[in-house]
Amino acid sequence: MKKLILFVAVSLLSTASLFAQTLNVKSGNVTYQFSADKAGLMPFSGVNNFSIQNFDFNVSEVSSMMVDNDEVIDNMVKVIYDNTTAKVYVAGNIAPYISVSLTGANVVIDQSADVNDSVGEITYRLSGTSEDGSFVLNGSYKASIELNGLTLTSMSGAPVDIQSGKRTAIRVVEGTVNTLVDAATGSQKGCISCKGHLEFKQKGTLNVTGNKSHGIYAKEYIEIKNTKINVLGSIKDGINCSQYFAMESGTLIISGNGDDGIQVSFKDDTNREAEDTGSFTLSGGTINVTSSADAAKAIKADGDVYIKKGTIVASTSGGGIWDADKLKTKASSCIGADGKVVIDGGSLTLKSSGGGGKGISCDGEFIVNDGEITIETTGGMCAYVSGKINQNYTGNADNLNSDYKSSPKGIKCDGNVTINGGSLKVNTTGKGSEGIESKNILTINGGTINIHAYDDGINSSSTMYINGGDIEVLSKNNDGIDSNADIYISGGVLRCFGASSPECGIDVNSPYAVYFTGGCILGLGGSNSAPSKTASTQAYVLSGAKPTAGSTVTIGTASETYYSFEIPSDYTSSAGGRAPELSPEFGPGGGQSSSNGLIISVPQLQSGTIYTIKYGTSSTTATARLTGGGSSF
Amino acid sequence: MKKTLFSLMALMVSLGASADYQSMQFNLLSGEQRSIPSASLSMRFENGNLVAQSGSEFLSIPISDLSSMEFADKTESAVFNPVVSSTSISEVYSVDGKLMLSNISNPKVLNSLPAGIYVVRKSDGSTAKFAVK
Repeated sequence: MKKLILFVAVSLLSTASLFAQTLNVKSGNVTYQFSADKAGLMPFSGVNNFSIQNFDFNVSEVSSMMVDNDEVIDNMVKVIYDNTTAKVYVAGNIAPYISVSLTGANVVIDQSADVNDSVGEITYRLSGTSEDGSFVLNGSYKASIELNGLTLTSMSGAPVDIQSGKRTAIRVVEGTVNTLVDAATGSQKGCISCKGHLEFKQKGTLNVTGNKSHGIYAKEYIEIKNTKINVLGSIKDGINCSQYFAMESGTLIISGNGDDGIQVSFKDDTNREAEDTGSFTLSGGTINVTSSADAAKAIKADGDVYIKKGTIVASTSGGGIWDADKLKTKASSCIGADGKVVIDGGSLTLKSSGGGGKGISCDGEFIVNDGEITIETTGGMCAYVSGKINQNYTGNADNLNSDYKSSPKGIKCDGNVTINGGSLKVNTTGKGSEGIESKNILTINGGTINIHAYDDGINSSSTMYINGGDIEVLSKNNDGIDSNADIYISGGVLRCFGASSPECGIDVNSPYAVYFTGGCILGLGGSNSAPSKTASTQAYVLSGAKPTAGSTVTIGTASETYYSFEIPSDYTSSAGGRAPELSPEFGPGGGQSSSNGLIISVPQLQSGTIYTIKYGTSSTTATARLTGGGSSF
Repeated sequence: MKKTLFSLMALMVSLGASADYQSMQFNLLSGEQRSIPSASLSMRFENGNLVAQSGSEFLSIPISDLSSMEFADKTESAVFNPVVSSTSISEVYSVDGKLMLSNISNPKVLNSLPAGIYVVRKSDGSTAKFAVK
């Protein structure tokens, strides 16, 4: 039986190839292909003309007509590059709609404006190799370009130049490697340049090098599904597009970019279409950007950034610059958005090492609902002083106008910061670097948050709400959490570690207050702020105890432990200072005090009751209270 | 196993029903028809003639004498001969002049005809013969 099947299969294959009959009409380097089944009657008109499938030929332009067994695929144009030449094959059914100009291996296709839904989309299949070739597509209807093993270098412009303003699907055939390199001269905006929108599809590999400007440029949106794209180098952005960028799956690797990795702009400044959002959306796949240019963003959106699934690994090593037009410093960032940043899932690993470099920077809101985010910044403060940019400014920056300095930060957000879930780990080591900074309201409702920072761990310019989550915040040289307005803590687990007095674990600027209404809270540092208003309803204890790195602090009665707090292994601050009773000028609720270097609040505490605090091998007692005893600066 | 074999054979039959033209037929203005095998057929225009060659066969026809050319002598049983595959067919007659079909919107209805020779009249007034085997 197996032999019979094999025989049938072999017969089938040989038969199939025999039955495909095609009439190839060659005119110059262009061959028009007509299926014998569809050629029908081919009438002659006079002595000069004949037509096939309504496409007219002049006999003087026909060099040969051959019948072979090639298969004709309707609506297909095949371009095969062969060093200094190219051969073009046009399917007979669309011959009336295709005009081909060919100079060497530079192919220009004019797709007729008559192509419409009735004619259907035309696919251009490109293959072969040329060190001096290109493909230019003019048209006004959507089209597909199929990259089927293409190695193409242009000596004068873009190897793939799509002048159509409509959608062009770039189908990168699975199992093929395609490499495009553009010229260092010319007017092209990208190695792949498109005046419409681009949709990359299929699972092949596409290597792109942009020697004049961007690696890939589209005047409108770019979508990626399945394709593996390597932007190996670009004078400007790795990918530059307008309207939006959306990636569903596949792999995008960008390196050697002279500016941003991916930049998404608005297409129009006014009267924007609904899809003109300027947004970046990742819903799957992997993006890896290594950016070394000064003040560059690995991912930059004029609108919002949405990360739903997938993986982003991004690093920036470029330093800050002085923007002479805007008269302000400008620094690198792994993700930068003029709008909001919303993370619903996925994995982000972001590293920034340049002066003033940030993990995430946004002008709008920053919202985390889920996902795993790891951010590391190692750069110092970028400052413009005496007409020179300094990448690691160590002078007193307090006297510098904010436009003249750019501090490194894990997350810097001009809008509200809201964390509802997920895992967020931030480590900043450069001078002046904060973990998370919100210029507005900061709210934590859930998630696992671990922040170790050189400067403030979490800083908000407006009210801070902590309603849930498991939060560890450590500042080496400033406050664990620092609000320029009230702090409301109602739930979750919060461990805040700050530096020596006047810094602290929990810091509220006067005249604002901290409110404890729930949660398990530990603040350790020089002089913590403590509740001072009667609206704070959960009792706390203050102590001058000095837990050491890696130890455990517990709160409870002599016989029962209510809660245990772990002290981070890299905690180095000593909670020094003076007791408030020795410094009456600070009064209740404020003072540089060793007695408030440690503050603990858990739901079990009752005001007026004495509790036991154990730390390492030591222990002490403290009386719980509802207000007073803290500091406020 | 039987299903696999059946599927392969069905596919083979399906493919076999596609193109299977034996020749390229040249229709002359005089009404005469000439043909040459279509396998490995090569044609070119030379000195006012259409020159065709297939293997050892050779054909040269003045372009001025040509009315049309078409793939012909299809061996399969289906009626999709190029002559009649057009949807522009208006009427079909038997060789004895009997009107067999009219107002044809789908040429597949020609499959319903009994085996024999027929004449079609197209909407442009031209006629052609075809066979249903």
